[in-house]
Amino acid sequence: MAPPRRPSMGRQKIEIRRIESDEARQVCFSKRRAGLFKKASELSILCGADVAAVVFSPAGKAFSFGHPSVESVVDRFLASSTPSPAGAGAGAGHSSAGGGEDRAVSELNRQHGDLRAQLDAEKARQERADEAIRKEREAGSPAMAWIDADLGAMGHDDLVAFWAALAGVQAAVAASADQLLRDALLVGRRGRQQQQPAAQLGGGGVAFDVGAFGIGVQVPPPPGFAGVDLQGFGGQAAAILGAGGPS
Amino acid sequence: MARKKVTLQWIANDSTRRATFKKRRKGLMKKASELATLCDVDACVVVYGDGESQPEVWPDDVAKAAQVLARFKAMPELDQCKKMMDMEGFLNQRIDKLREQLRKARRENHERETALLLHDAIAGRRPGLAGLSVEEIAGLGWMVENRLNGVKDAIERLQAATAGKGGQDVVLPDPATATTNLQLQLPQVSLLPLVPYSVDAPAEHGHAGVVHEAAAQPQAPSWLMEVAKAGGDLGALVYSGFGGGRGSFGGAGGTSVGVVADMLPHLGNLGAGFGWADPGLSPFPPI
Repeated sequence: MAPPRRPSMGRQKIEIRRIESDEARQVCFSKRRAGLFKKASELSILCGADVAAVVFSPAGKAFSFGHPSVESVVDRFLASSTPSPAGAGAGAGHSSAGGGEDRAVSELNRQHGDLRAQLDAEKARQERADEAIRKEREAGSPAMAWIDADLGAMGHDDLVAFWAALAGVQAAVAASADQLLRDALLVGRRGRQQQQPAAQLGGGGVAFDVGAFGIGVQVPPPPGFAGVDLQGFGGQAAAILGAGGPS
Repeated sequence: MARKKVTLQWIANDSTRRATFKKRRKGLMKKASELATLCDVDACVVVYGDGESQPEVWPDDVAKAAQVLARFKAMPELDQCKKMMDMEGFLNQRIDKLREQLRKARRENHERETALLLHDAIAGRRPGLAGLSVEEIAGLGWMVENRLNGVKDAIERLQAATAGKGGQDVVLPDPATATTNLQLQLPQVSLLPLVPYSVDAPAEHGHAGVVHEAAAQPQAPSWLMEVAKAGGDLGALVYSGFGGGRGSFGGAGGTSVGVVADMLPHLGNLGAGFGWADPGLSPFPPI
């Protein structure tokens, strides 16, 4: 009798019996094989045990995991399981793996631990960012509504207002990048030497200086043109309203 | 007491290690049993404890386990080794998987944080974008560019849809729409003192442009020509886009077309003038 399905489709206990559907069985095999090998590897790492796991897929292929190796553990088991007068008395000695292999495994374990720690840190960052975004949404911030909204569903007025706000931010970004560039120019004699070629080259000189200082910041559009965008938009508004617009 | 993540390394404490070994071995056997039952496949697990000579196996019957392993050994060598893994191979696989997950998580986090920065900038919480690093400003610039392109496309689609309607229906709401636009944009612009802006006295703009032009010209004539050319083109491009919009609002009246034509050169000149003013300041701070 199958257990009654709960309202949510989350994790559920399943009956441990043969799965009827071929596709579902194959998927289950892949997932559980990976889990089995993971548990086997953890056991050998934590307790220093020698482990071998061999499974045959529904299609008849063999998958195996072993530490130190599948052959060594399987051969050891088969030798001991077959009764023979000579081998009965003497127990098979445990042959430890070479130091080199242990060091390699230990290094891989350390890498694995480091990566897992970094992944946990990234997930914490993600939760903090999501929390900040959720807080802005609850505060009813119009800017967050713009950022979240589907552009295709926004009205013309909203789109124009959003465009104006973005143009303003773009101008601020250009000004800020401009300031950073200026600070870089003022640093060191190399900047002074570059000053004359910059003056000669004009606009191109600015790009050249950026390259010379190794500042890989490419903030489109170039400084100054954002002002042109804003001015053009302002001109459009002035044209619509006439010269006597409120101000 | 909540479970704590287990450090994946050999347990030094003897009693703890033995207890863990017993528990985990039992769990491993259970997992093998479930796999074999659910997928109707043959499986075998052999575990030798540290220093033990007698292994624990699943299936419990040694003969059955030996039979499964014998089947495995009877396979051709290639088939045996094709899907075989040892500890190093297994760990390398997991490390690669973790690296991929880490890279993906970092990219998503960068996008989220840049979106937050964009929100703060629009809401006026970061005047002049003070305190941001070069990377943050670059990311913010790229996101603004992408959003501007998206908004521009959406506006063009709306205008295309509006153009299909009758002109008479669109004429009446024009003043209200224009007023709403201006009211919506003014608070945003007023929060940006870096950009001088005013909607009254257009002639004054022209005057300011002329002054800047006169001031900048003697220092770098060739540079001035380049900037003027680029600024003029950009201004014309921007104005052309909105000129189309204005046309759709005005309907098919000949007078409206004339007004647009009259305004075009003037606004282009304003754009060029402003373009001169802004970059004119940046390349010569030390002089």
